[in-house]
This record gives sequence, structure tokens and C-alpha cells, in this order.
Amino acid sequence: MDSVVRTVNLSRFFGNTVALDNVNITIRRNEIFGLLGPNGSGKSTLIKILATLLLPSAGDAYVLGYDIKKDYMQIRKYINIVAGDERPGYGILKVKENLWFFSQLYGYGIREGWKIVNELIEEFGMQDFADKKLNRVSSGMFQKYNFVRGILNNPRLLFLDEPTVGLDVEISREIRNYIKSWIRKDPDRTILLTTHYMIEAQELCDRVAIIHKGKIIKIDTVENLLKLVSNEHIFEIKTFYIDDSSISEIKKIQGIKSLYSDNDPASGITKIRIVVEEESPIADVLSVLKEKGIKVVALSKEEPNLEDVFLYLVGSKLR
Amino acid sequence: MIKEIFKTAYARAYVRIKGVNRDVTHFIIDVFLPLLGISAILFAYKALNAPNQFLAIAAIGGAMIAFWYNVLWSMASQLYWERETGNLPLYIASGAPMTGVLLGMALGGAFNMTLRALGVLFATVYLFNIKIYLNQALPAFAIFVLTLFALYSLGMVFASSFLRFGRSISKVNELLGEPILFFSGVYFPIRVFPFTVQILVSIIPLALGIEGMRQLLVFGNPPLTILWIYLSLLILGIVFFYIATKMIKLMEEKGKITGTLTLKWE
Repeated sequence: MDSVVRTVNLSRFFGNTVALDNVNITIRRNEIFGLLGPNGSGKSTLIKILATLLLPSAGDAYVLGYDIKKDYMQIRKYINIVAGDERPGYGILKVKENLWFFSQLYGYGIREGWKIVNELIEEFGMQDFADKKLNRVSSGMFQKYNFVRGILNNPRLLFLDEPTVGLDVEISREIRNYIKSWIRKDPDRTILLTTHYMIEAQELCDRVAIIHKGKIIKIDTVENLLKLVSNEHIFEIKTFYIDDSSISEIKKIQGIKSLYSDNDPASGITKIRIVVEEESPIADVLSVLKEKGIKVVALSKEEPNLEDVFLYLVGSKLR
Repeated sequence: MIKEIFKTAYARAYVRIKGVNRDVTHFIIDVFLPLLGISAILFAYKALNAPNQFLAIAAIGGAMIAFWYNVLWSMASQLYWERETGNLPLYIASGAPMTGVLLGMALGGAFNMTLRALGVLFATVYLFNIKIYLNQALPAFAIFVLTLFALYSLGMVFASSFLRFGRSISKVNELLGEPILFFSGVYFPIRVFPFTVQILVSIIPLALGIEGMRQLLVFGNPPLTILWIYLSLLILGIVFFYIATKMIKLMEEKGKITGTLTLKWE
């Protein structure tokens, strides 16, 4: 079977709030399928439905050919979930004891569970903290443990819900490497990854669905999505802090297709990312900044990324 | 399916037993603090020159208090906490039988509390020189086991149904804490209540269990005279356990519709 997940006009409402709106996606076997969208866009809701934890308000969904409404016990044999913002397990138990506990839930025998846990601890280089209590490990170690817990049952479909949220660059890279090597090892493995980090989506995903306010805006390969903005020029200007009214003024400059800004409170630097068809409006932007006495720290021309695609398709920034 | 339930129960009980007993100071504190509370009552009886039976009644009841608090705080509220940490969705998505999870919580909790209750009982009997009918230990143990079966089955019912209370669960527990202990007569025999109240409180496993153990260990009555207590506890246990298995399924089905299986900070 080549389609691991298929949704048909899938919708979910919470009262008057629309969390998912007529979602139609197909995820193929052995691909890393990304759901890219800001917080509250419906990514986690979709995962909860596919992981048989939530029923849709309308529409249908099939995982490995099984209907999520009727055949949920069948589906549960083949899935697992890793959510970056959760702290599953028991702090009073050691890391390896927690893994053994979950191995029992996933159907292993008592001794078999210890065997697989010890193998995974070795494979993932967790010997240093396997004997530490879970409430004594760092966030990076915890996320490593959580990832290993997620693959304990060798799932055919692994849901990764923001797996690197809150982690530093080094650990995030390590987790991403685990993800890549795990899926490569078996052609029957498939991953549905939600993220609002464009680097993660760009590096990992074979195909990406851009989701906004519960609606799928576009599904394509990363390469094809980037082509959407390939004719545009993208500039990044770093300045000292700029207030919102100045940003609004810059947005009005003719020729600017889209723009978003980010303030870094730690450094006091504002990053402005601008998408333009021609390069000339950038001179106008610099003039406005000069008039307002705002010092430009850096100006660079950038390669387009998925954040720009999101900006181009949705009109607002990803985060 | 039965094998799966027991395997899951074993794993969940392991969490409780291994985790709680890793630090021996927990055990000492868990025995010492209740001992202080019970000692206050026993000293009062001693000061009044009350007969030994008064002391034995209070010692048995006092040792059983821990079970009720364990049922409330570590059974009834447990799935709420499991949901907060993200364990509950993983339990459910794993396909492991939730009855096994509940059973494991109950077995682990009952084991831990039994060690502590025995510690409290031995300490009070020794320190206050309390006389009990040791030849009735075996039938009293049977009553004890049936009491735990009924009590923790009730805890499983609570665990399945208390998810709906969200954060107010601590208030529900407080509301149930002292009144149940009062009506269970932990420091006095429930025979002091009017007959209708006695009938009503006999659906509380703790009340029945304490009464049964007192009849055997304090008054030395033969087991056959309290056969009704054995039977009542057995029936209560079976009924509560059956309700718990149905409630947990209902909780999951309802939770999938409302979203409460994964909803946090409710």
C-alpha cells in the first residue's frame, strides 16, 4: 500500500472554532511529510485525529487503509507519537526503566522489553544518562529519550509533533539526524512531522503541506514550493529596534510584495525580511530608515526559504 | 486479552512500587507521620484508662486511613495527572488495555500502602502494648484483601470518571476525604450510628473492612459471624470493578468526541 494516510474533507470544530477545515491529504509510504504552519493552525489537531485520540466533526481519514473511526485498535498497533512539548514518563524512574515501561505497553514481553531497551540505549548513545532518574536529565537528553520511546514499537507511521521545540541548535540537529537515519533504515516507515521551524521542514521533508487556520493552502515538495518565490528577490535588513508604526510605513513602499519583522529583545536588533519583485524598492526602504534615524546594522540578499513561501502564500509570517 | 491486561498491570504497578520505594526515607515518613496522628488518639484513651479494646479499635482504623487517601490522590486523580504530563494520550494510542493500566495503579498503590499500614499497625501495637486476637490473623487478612479489592475497584471507577473535573479535582478529593473517613468510623465503631446510617455506610468498603477486622482481631468473634461482610466486600469489589471497565471505555469514547483526552490546563 503506497498511501499510508488519506484524509477526505476532514474537519474538526471546537464549539465555534474551526480547527480543521476540509483537509484532504495523502501521505505516501516512506516519506517524511511535513505540516508547516504557525501555532494554532491545526497541525496538532490533525495528528490527534490520525493518532485515534480525537474524532473528526466531519469527513473521513484512513491510516494504513484502516478507518480511524472504526478500526482504531488496528491503527494503534502501527503508530507512535513524539510531541516535543510533552514530558511523558515518570520522573521517579530511571530513563531505562521508563523505556522498559513503555515497551510493555507496546506489547513486548518482560525480558524482550529490557533487551530492546538496552539495544536502543546503545544505538542512540544514551549510556551516560540511561541510569539517571528522568527528572534529573536535561531537555536535550529528555528529547532523545522521548524519540527513542517513540520508535520502541518500530511504528510504521511515526507522528512527530514539533520534535525539536525549545531545544538548542546542536541537540535539534542531532534529533533531525536521528529522524533521517531512522526512516532510511526501513522502506515501510513513514513520518508525519509538524513544525513551525522552516529549517526543519526544509531539511527533513520530502513533501510539505502549508497549513493556515485549519486549511491546507498548498502541498508540494520543498523544491517546488521554493520555486513559487524563485522569481522574487529576498532581502534581509538588520537594524536597531524599530517600532510597529515605522514597519507599517515601510510596508507601504511601492514594490514591496511582503514583509515581516522580528525583534530580538536580547540584542535589541530588528530583522526585516522583505520580498520584492525588483530590487529598487530596497533603496526606498533604506531612505525611510535613514530619515527616521534608524541605524542599519546589516543588509543582505537571501536565498528564498519556506518562511518566504509561507509569507508569499498566506501573507503573514510563520511564527 | 486477559494476558495483555495483566502484563500492562504488572508494568504500571512496577512504576509505583519501584518509584515509591526507591527512597527508604519515604517509607519512614509515610509510617511516622500517620503514627503521630493515631498516637494522639491512643494517648487520649490511655489517659482515660480506656480498656484495651478502645486502643485496638483506633489502631486498626488508623492504619487503614492511608488506603483511602491513596485511593483519592493516587487513583482518582491519577489519570488527570497522566494527561497533564502527556502519558494518557500515549497509553491510549499504544492500544494497551486501559483496564490493565488502572489495575496496575491499584495493585502498585495497594502494595505500597500495605507495607505502610503494616508498619503503622505493628508500631502502635508494640508501642502502646495493644492486645489483639492473633489466632484470627488469617480470616482478618482475608477481610483485608477483600477490602482492598473493593476499595481499589472503587478507586478505578473514580479514576475513569474524575477526568471530567479538570483542575477542580483537588476540591473533589478534599470533599470526599474527611467525610468518608468519618462515616467509615476509623476511630470508633460504626455501630454508634443510627441503623439506617449503618446500612448506608455499608456501601463504603473501608467502613465494612475496618468493622470486619475489628470483629475478628479486637473482639475475637469467629469468621462465620461476619460472613455478610465477606460477601458484601466481594460483591462490592466485583460491581465496582465491572463499572470501572465500562467507565474507562466510556471515558475514552467521550474524550475522543470532546477532545478531553489531550486537553490540558482544563
